[in-house]
Amino acid sequence: MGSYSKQSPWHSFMQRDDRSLLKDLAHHQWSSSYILEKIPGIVFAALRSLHFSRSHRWGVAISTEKMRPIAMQFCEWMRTHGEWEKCEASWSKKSKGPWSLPFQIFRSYYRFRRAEYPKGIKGEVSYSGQKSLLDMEGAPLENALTGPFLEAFSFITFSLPEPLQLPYQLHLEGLLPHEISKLLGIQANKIDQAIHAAKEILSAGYSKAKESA
Amino acid sequence: MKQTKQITLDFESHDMDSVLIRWLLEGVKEEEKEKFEKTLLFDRRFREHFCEWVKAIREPAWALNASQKEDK
Repeated sequence: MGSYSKQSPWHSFMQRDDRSLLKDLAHHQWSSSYILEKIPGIVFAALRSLHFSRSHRWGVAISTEKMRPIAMQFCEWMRTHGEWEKCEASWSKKSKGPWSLPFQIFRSYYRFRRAEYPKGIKGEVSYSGQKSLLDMEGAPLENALTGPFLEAFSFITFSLPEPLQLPYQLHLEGLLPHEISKLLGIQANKIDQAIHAAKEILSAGYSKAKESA
Repeated sequence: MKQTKQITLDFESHDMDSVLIRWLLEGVKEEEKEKFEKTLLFDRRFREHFCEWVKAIREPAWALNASQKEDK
């Protein structure tokens, strides 16, 4: 993961030193529209990546205007919930950083989403590999059943041999083999083999169950 | 099916901010590897959010977009 991150285009953004900017944000009660005017590149980029990540990946350009209402709400939430102050307090404890505002916006947006939209935001494009199964038009399950269904689906992976479980779960979530490799410290070709083996086992189990039914 | 132990970490907590950025920039330390892997394995919600975060950050368009305007 470490060496992977250094090669990534976002690495420099994660190492920015934005302490003075955060201090301003924490100490001034700036309005949402002023904040969006002051740091549009950071706020809209984070929202675009997290909120509309799959659309972005598919090359669909989500306009800033379309994102503005949720961005405004997010900035207002940051102000009224003392999030800037909490972030500044957290940063002031650190002696080495990093003090990247893009990173902090990412993190704060997760908190905002959980607090204000625990069931997801309308128009949000799910990016979870397992969830995407339920995003399909005509999905057989009601939203209320989504959680238990995903839990059950996740539980199936525990029927796999232990070394295959986590690589396959991360694969289902959409991580690439080289990312899983860096994360778990396992060679990429071994990850490929584990994913393939897991599919074989689950497929064989399904066929067997189908025959006996 | 023998492993049923639940390990949970609050992905959105402020405490996780510094842990996540450290994992991202420096990698997972050997002594915390086991806990990290068990959390990913058993806590579906954490796994889902962690992976979503890795995917969102790896998106090159994000960095390109951010570089188009200087935020001052």
